[in-house]
Amino acid sequence: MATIRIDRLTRVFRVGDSEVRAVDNLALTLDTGALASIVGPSGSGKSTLLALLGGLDTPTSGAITVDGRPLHQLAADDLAAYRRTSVGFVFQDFFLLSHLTALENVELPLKLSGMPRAARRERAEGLITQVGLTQRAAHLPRQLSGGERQRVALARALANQPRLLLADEPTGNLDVHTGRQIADLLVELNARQRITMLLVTHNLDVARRAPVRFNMTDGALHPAHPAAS
Amino acid sequence: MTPPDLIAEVARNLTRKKTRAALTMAGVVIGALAVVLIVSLGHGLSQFLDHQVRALANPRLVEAWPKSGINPARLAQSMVTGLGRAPREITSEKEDEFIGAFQIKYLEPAQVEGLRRIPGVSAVQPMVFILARSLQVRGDPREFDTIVVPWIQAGPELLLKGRGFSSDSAHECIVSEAYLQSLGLASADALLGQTVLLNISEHPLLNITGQPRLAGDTPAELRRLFDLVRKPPADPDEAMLALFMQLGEMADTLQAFEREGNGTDARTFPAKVVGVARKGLLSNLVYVPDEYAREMGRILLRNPDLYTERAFGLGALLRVNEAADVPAVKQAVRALGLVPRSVEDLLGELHSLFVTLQKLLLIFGGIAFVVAAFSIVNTLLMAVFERRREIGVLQALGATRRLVAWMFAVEAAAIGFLGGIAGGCGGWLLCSLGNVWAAHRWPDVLGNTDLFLPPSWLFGGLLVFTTLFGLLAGVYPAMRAARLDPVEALRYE
Ligand SMILES: Nc1ncnc2c1ncn2[C@@H]1O[C@H](COP(=O)(O)OP(=O)(O)OP(=O)(O)O)[C@@H](O)[C@H]1O
Ligand SMILES: [Mg+2]
Repeated sequence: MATIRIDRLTRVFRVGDSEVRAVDNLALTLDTGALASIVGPSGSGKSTLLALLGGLDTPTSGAITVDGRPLHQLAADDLAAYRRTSVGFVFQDFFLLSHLTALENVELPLKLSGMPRAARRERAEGLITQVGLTQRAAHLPRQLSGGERQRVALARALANQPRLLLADEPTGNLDVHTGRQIADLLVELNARQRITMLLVTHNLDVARRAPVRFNMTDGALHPAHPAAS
Repeated sequence: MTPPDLIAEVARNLTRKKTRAALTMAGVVIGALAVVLIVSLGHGLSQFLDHQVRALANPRLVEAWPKSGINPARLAQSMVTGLGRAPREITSEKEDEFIGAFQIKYLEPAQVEGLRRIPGVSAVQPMVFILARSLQVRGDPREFDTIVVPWIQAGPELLLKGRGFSSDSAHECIVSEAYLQSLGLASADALLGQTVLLNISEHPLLNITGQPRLAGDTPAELRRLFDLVRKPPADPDEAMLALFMQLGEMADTLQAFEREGNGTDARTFPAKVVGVARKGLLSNLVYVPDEYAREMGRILLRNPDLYTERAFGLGALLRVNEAADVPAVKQAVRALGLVPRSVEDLLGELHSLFVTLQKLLLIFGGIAFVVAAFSIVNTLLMAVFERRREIGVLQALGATRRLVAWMFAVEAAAIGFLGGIAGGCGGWLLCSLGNVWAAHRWPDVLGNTDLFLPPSWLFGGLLVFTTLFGLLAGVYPAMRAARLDPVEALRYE
């Protein structure tokens, strides 16, 4: 059974008189536990697609179903619940809360779900260990390196045990070596926990790690040529 | 997010910019401080006067005034409510509401009779108006200022030492203990049994009314003269003689009057001190028997008929047997077409005066709160702007718009709450200092009552108010925060 089913998805932005079709009549089907990468030129609509998949944005038209949930029909509160329980985000800029320690950042989604203090502390510590940052748990984001920050962000994205992980250029701000480590971590997670992953990247090395690969141009997805990989 | 987590989150957000949070709170603190001081002062003064009046005044007394004519309460009201208003038109129905336009009317005998028949009323007396010049102890040349009060108006727990009066017209008095200090006497016993002289003058205003004053006996002598002319003795010689003798007597009277001069008539009323009264806010009170008081009042206003059945007076005082009957008696007075007034009414007027005053002063507190509101809105809008990316992250992690709104609204409420606590504590401290100062400044007047007396509800009410106020000020920033688009907030710039 497919986890993600997208049909004729369109997202149009209107700025003044002009119209930008950021996602244009897009179709996509992904199985549970798939690891897919998307590459494409800047402005081709990759981030917009992830926002729609993550329930942060709503489509202008078309259908988008995740795990049987019709996102295009959900009310704002249901979308929030979907983000809280089923989706994890990883961003190029990490977006950690600067006044919270690494551990507290990981705890944040658990707090939002109303998990009791002791339980969420324990789970957050487990996740921090999982991404190899036990020694850094009490550090503030500015006291961490870029790679360490992205590990914290990854731990935070995994906190609520999502079925779907959306990563928007997760290695974009990292050097080649560190980027590779993060990519390793993602691949390992996908293999071990069967989390469906969509990985947007400009780094072809990283893209090649995904068994399913797409090119995105002008708001639409195309399967990557095997020759290109 | 659970409410404790929300509050912990808000507390953390507040402490991120401590100076800014403190400055934002300053407006609330100042407002709360002003409210505490004003309300406590108003309440303290009002309680103080309440105690004083209750100690001095007789709760079983009901005044009865004509609907039109002089009415002190209405005149006082018209002076206060006239503030800041355009001048009102004086119409014939309303002229007694204006201090320069009222007509003096005596209570009519039928009305007095009606008052006497009210069940539960043991005495009906005219309202006596006395302005005494001075009080002297016989044999002591010093004169002291004094207010002479008819015994009927005395409160129940007034007598400190001695006894009441032997009769309604006895030449006796009960003086305030404060005179002991003025006279330099060590104890009340030194004053009991002495005779004091109460000097009452005709009111000086009477001398500028332009009416010539007749010597005391002149009217009676004129009457005798007219009687003589109307019904002269049959014998012409005898008639002539009688006429001349009568004229001679009148000449003597007028001559004597000439010698005394045309000044005011003054009389000295001796009174034996039979009791000493507890001193209240008015320390210079002297109580005298009711009939003796009326005698003094007649001199003051130069009207020998005043306070008799011929000219009963402007208002009446009713002594009610049971304090519980006062409302019923007031009802009966009203049924007679008169306006009743009791101690409770007087207190009600005093309290409403203080409430009005408090309201005026609270405007200053209100200004502080208006400033505080802008400051809270401004700070939070700034915080929303600074934290917009954070808000986007929270939304991406599953926070609802409602939760985001609550985070800012609760932060504003917390500013109000903490400001309320700080202002309340500061205000309480200032009140305590003010009381120490006031007790030092006016030890005799205040005794052991507090000038600044926070009502019991004040601090609770203040916290509820400042918290709700903060919450209200936070509504707009909270709405702005909730409306933020997460996608927009998370675009890298
Ligand atoms: N809120 C918005 N208002 C107007 N236009 C928008 C908005 N968001 C995105 N766009 C437009 O939609 C198009 C797709 O944007 P998107 O961010 O999805 O591109 P992208 O593929 O992620 O690019 P990059 O690789 O640079 O991140 C762009 O032309 C962008 O200008
Ligand atoms: Mg992008």
